[in-house]
Amino acid sequence: MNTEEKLEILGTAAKYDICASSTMPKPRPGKDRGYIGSNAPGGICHSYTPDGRCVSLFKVLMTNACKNNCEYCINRASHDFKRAGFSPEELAHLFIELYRRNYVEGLFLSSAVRKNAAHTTEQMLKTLQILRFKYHYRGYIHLKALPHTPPHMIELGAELADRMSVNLESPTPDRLKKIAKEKDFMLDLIEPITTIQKQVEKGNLQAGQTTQFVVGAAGETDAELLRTTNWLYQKKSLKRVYFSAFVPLDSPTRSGQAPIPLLREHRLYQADWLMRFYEFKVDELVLQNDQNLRLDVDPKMSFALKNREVFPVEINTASFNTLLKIPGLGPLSARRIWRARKEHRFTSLNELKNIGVAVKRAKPFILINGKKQGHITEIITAKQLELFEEQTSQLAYMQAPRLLM
Amino acid sequence: MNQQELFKLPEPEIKLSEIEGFKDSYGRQIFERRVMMALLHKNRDRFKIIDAAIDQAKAKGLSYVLCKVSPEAKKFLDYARQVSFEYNKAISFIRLKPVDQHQVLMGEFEVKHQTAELIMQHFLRRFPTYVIMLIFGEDVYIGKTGDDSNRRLYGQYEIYKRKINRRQLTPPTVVDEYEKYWLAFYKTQFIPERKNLRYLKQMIPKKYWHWVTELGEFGLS
Repeated sequence: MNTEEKLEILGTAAKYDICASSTMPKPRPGKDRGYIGSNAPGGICHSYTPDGRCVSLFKVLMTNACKNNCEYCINRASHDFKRAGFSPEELAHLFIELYRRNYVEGLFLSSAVRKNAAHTTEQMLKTLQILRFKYHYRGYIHLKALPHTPPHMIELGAELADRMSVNLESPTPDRLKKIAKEKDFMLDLIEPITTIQKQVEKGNLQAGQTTQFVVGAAGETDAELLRTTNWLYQKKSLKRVYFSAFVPLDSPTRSGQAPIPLLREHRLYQADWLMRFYEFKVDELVLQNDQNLRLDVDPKMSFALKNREVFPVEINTASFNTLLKIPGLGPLSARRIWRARKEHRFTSLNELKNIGVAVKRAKPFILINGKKQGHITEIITAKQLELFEEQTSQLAYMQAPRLLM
Repeated sequence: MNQQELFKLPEPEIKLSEIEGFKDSYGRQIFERRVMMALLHKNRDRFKIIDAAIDQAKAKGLSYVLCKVSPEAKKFLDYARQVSFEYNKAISFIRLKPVDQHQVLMGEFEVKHQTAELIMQHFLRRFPTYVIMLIFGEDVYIGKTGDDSNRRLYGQYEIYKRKINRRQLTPPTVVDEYEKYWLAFYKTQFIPERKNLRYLKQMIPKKYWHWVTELGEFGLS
């Protein structure tokens, strides 16, 4: 099999793995001047696919030959399709040549589990060693840790890579059992996450640790996903949690399971951002009675509609935290208002518009110098509001599913 | 140096840190960075805009300008943003062609603002053992990283500029096999269920499509 064919197979197999573009605050240390590569701040996209997603990293699998039979996964053992694999030298050389041409910003290396996790991880680590020591590559590498990877291999990986991740796929052990019978939630997934966390605390892995959930594959609710996500941020110091809406692949094994709407994935990301950047607590998020986020109203607007007694707030005096709760205001515009207020008093909606506030959304929820700027009926009718009240409740606070405690 | 011309970033005439009232060091750093970026804008009125922003910062405070409260501040920050945007797109979309016998990496792009030197710096930092050669319209920039004893030029980089006659350039005859591999990889990354051309157009303005040749694989170039 030639390189092009391997790329087609192993690139396709990796496309459902989600990773952000490289994010690296500090350059990797190194005394030699003969190095190649550097880390740039996040946000460099070398291309885009027709779905608008950024192509930043060279995202491939070491091999797609897998001993596991996870129901959601395109590479599962029972799936009848072509298998391929790179040798460490072949993959390292291919990557460095693409990097030299400025096609990619870094490497994202994952794999199916060929014989066992240790054997496959050894191949992946060899690739990284060739890149770091033979080619003197100092750019970004994201290494995926496979379920049940031995701790000493994770430690070595943490020295070679900038970011590591373990895919949790499901938010609870019960849900995971439904789609991946071979995997043990605590032993195979949470333990590697804990080992990686220790490496991050030691100062390795400058870009931290991430994970990914397949949304809807095991019938889990948004409440479960958000509670586990919150637990991972709080207790395991994860940098990011990614959500990937389940897409039944060419031969779906779960009969009759429809694809999950992409809007659900979007709403989960919005809720995730509220927790990470808007100082929302998990129990402030508003859910429908079926324990999922509403698809027709975004989570921040849901919060504002559910907590109408908090609004409207005076833009010239509200605390930073309160500013963050106003629909139409992001952390950037809230910070701008908060800073500008030290030397200036806001008098008009136009000033807020200049700052970057989405005034149409924000109007009903703010006062400027004590003056109301709009009414809630500009956003939602009284009847819709009544229905909204009936169908929603706030997420009851639980630190994590009981088994994770 | 004959046709060669040595390049330096313009020295600011005033040090913002010396202006009274610029006590907020975090804000001052951001403000200085924005001024440097706005200085590279193509429009001639950039100096007027920057002056107005500095005057407002002195009168009403740095935050007033950095938070874009006034229309002048907004225009000043828009200029800085447009320059940053162009720089970001250039370092993303320039494809380099290695000429291994000379340790040279060559590339081409089109810039409207004066961002060529910044772009050169990015690639020199990334590939310190290579000579970087970038063509911007009729100007060619050639740069290399100086060794420790030769740091007198432009920080630690030497960057030269000269005019070229584009008709004298011979297009490469050898097909680069890695271009083929890149296209093969790029095609694998698309998830048809997520097709969203509106989002794509939002992420990458049409004026850059010409440089992102792989978009042609989906009939988008």
